[in-house]
Amino acid sequence: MSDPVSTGVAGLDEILGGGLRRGSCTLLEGIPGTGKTTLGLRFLHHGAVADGAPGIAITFEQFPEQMVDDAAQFGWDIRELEQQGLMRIMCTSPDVFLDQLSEVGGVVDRLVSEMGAQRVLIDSASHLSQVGEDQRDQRQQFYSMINGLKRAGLTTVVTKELESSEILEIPFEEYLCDTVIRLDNRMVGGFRRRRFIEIAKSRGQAHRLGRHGFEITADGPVVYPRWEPQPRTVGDTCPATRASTGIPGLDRMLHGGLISGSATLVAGSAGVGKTTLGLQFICEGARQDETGIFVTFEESPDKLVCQAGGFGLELAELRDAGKISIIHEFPTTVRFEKLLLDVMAEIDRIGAKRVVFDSLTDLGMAFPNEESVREAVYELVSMLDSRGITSVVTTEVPELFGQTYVSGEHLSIIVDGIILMKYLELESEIQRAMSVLKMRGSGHDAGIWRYIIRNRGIELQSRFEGAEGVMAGAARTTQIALSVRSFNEFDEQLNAELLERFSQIHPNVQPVSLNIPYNPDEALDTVRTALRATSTHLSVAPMCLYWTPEIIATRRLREVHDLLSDAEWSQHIPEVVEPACEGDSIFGVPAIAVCGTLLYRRDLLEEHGFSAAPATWDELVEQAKKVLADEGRDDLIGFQFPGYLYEGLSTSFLTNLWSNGGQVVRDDGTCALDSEAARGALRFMHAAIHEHGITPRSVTSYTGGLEPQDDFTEGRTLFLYMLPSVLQEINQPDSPLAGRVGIAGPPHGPRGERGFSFLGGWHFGIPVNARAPVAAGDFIQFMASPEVQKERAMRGGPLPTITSLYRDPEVLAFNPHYPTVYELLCSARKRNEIPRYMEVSELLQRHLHPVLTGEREPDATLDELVPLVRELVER
Amino acid sequence: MDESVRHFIEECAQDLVGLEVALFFQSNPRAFDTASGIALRTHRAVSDIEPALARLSEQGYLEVLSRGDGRYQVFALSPRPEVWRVLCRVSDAYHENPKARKEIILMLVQRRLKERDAEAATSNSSGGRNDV
Repeated sequence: MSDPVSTGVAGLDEILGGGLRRGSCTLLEGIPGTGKTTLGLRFLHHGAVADGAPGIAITFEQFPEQMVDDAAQFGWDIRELEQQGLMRIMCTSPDVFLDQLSEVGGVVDRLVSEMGAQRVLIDSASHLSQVGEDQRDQRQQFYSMINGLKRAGLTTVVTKELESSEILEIPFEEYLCDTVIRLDNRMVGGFRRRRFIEIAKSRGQAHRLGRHGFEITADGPVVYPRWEPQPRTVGDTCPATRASTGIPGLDRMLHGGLISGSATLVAGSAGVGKTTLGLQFICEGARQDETGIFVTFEESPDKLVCQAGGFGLELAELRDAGKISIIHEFPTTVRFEKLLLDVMAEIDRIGAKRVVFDSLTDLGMAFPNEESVREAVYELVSMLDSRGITSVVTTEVPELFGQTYVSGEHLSIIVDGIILMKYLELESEIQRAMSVLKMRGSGHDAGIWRYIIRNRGIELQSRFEGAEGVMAGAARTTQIALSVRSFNEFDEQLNAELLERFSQIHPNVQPVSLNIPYNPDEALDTVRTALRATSTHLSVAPMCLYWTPEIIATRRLREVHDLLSDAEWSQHIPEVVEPACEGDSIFGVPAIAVCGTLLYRRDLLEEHGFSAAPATWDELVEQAKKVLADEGRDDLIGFQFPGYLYEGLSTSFLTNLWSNGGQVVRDDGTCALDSEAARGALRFMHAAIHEHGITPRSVTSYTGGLEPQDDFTEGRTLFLYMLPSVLQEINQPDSPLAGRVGIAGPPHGPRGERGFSFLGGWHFGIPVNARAPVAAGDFIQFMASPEVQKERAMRGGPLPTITSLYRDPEVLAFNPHYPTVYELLCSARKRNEIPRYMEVSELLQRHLHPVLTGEREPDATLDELVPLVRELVER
Repeated sequence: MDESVRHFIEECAQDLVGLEVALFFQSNPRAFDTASGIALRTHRAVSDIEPALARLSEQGYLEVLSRGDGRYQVFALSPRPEVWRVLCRVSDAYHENPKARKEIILMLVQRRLKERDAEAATSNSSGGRNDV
């Protein structure tokens, strides 16, 4: 087949499959005003100008001078072409033309041969109907005319007027012509007319089906070919790469960002922040050298730049640097097909990787119905996909509140992802909520997130919890459970009050106190089990200071740094905060401080001649023996310490070890338990029970852990090595021991210069699988706040972690021992500094417990223990 | 007014229809049509058009092509350059020069009046003879 003949109309050759077939006859039909004659003239003009192919226009109705004038509007100088012998516009009657065409040596023959004409425009075939008597005759005449033109080797365009855009009966000319092009001019959107073009037939030539955009511009007719949708390629890359949205919280919801090459619909009410999201997305891309295009219908480029500047987005700078391009179209005049071509050209020009379309709602004004919009979006998504573009397409949902229908045009199946942004009414406030409804080929956070728009743009704040119907616009609160650990019955009562108060502040949250074991080792098991679950009620994970690092290492905790401000973090005792830190991240908020203290019955010591607490263990033994002997009471116990099989036993040993100048691991990392300090420490613990008779063997067999406290608070113990919370309980006004108990640090051994306490405490963490992480965060903030910690301290609760409370006069009035305790806290040793402490503690418990029960000798046991500990700590 | 224009008006166009036909071909030099086709385009009666076409053809301004085995005649502008030059001057005078246009119309009206007078005189003399 010979080369096709170019029409000279941009885009028309493309949909024709290259142009018109040489020597063919094309019917160009349409209602009045669709541009038939103009397009036909362009066909001739282009042939003459571009190819030097002479052409003839035969007009049966319009005067040639009018056609020349019309052509001049587009800059086509027909007169000049006529003078050059490249073009003729002839007017005649249809019958004359047909007769002349058939006559040998007729005017047409003569003209064709004189000019060497290659192209002919006949305007229009409608007048040929005057010639024939009936349709059969007319068809015969038309058929003959076509053959005559083909005989002359002419490529012909014949115009034909249609009475209506809706063709009820196919004109016979369509059967006879090789190509049929229909032009249309119809109302769109009520007040605007749009031109369209369609190749209804193209004999022997592949062409693009469907209606394409057509316009008559100042430069002449232009066709905007519709995009031919192609199979999608998104997700073909494995693993999928991500495109950050520039909104960290949203990126987390999306598990890292939008999938590169995907199309995401951002649906939301007016003013909810869709454009802002688009701006953040496009600017973030540009910062990462992913150039982008922002297509805006609503906002002018200047306004957009201004809006972006308000959020600290450097849109203007990025645009000036050529990293972002802004295409602005008015929704009432935009031609989608043209816009698509413009966007494609711009993508290719700047090598864009991201595109934002803001918004489909505006674009919808350019279409007559929803079906057209849907097709357009499909073409848009397909085009963007073909170029590997990651896109955000915004659309407005009409409902400010209430149920939202994301896409009446069923767009949801076309796009890869849907993000819904909503207003909602909750707790008498208008809030904004965002959720990811769909993300093809990727997991995503299924939660509904509260967000705000501040001077840095959109910021996700917290997940809506304890509320239903959020995305329906009217949230209803529901109760969610929080777990809280209490240390004793007294603490439990205090906690119950605090929980109730928290519920009043957060009506949608109902904290419940879970039965977490007192024994930290057992508590550890509970927390471990909860963290392993897919989802856990344990939204607030209590973490004992010495095993907090181990829990952090499971990677099952959420980062909680954002729960407190830097100023708030600095209020806490740094030594208590530190175990919850890993690098720059923090995984636990300190709620309780703990250290080992020696509680003693000051009244009894003074009564029996001792003016001060013992400074050494030997003094303690001496004082205990004397008081026990002097008192002569069967129920009085000299000294109690944690000695049963749990981590407290390790703590007791470590206190003795440190206070005797020893340590578990030397600074060089080697095991230091093969020392006289260690032997002395263990011998003392053994002797207290089995030699001095000041400690009952029952310290090795308690089951609940609270028995020594009870013995002390009920007046049956002289010395108790325990947490200071016992004293806080005793300081209650109704306590019989109020004012009769003293507190001191641990005594030291013969090899030590001073006693060392151990540092302990509890952190609150949030499991990654927590069902109510946001409520948990609120609760932790509440419990860790200075106000609540102060109240707990003043009501006999655990030690606060906020430094200033140890100097607060109101707190000191109730807790005069706090300065002593604070000194102990600050100088206390940290168990978690011992490498693999949890395993070391296991070894210590297993080997030392038989020593305390009298089943094993201290030295021999230590000899067996040392290599085991060495293997652990030196590994 | 240019003498060639005056001559064309006096000798060729002779009346308003003649002038219109001439101007039609000047505007549409590639027109070729029958008398009825040209009458349609100029909105004149064929009976008025035919004498004008005949005069312009006789004066060499139009070509007459006998077509369809002599069934009909087709008129087209003469390709002679001098014809085109004269018609362009006529067009300029009529369309671009109000004074000349007025003069042309006056010439045509006066010519028409003379013809009517002549017709009337002819009619009176023959009538007088009859009456006599």
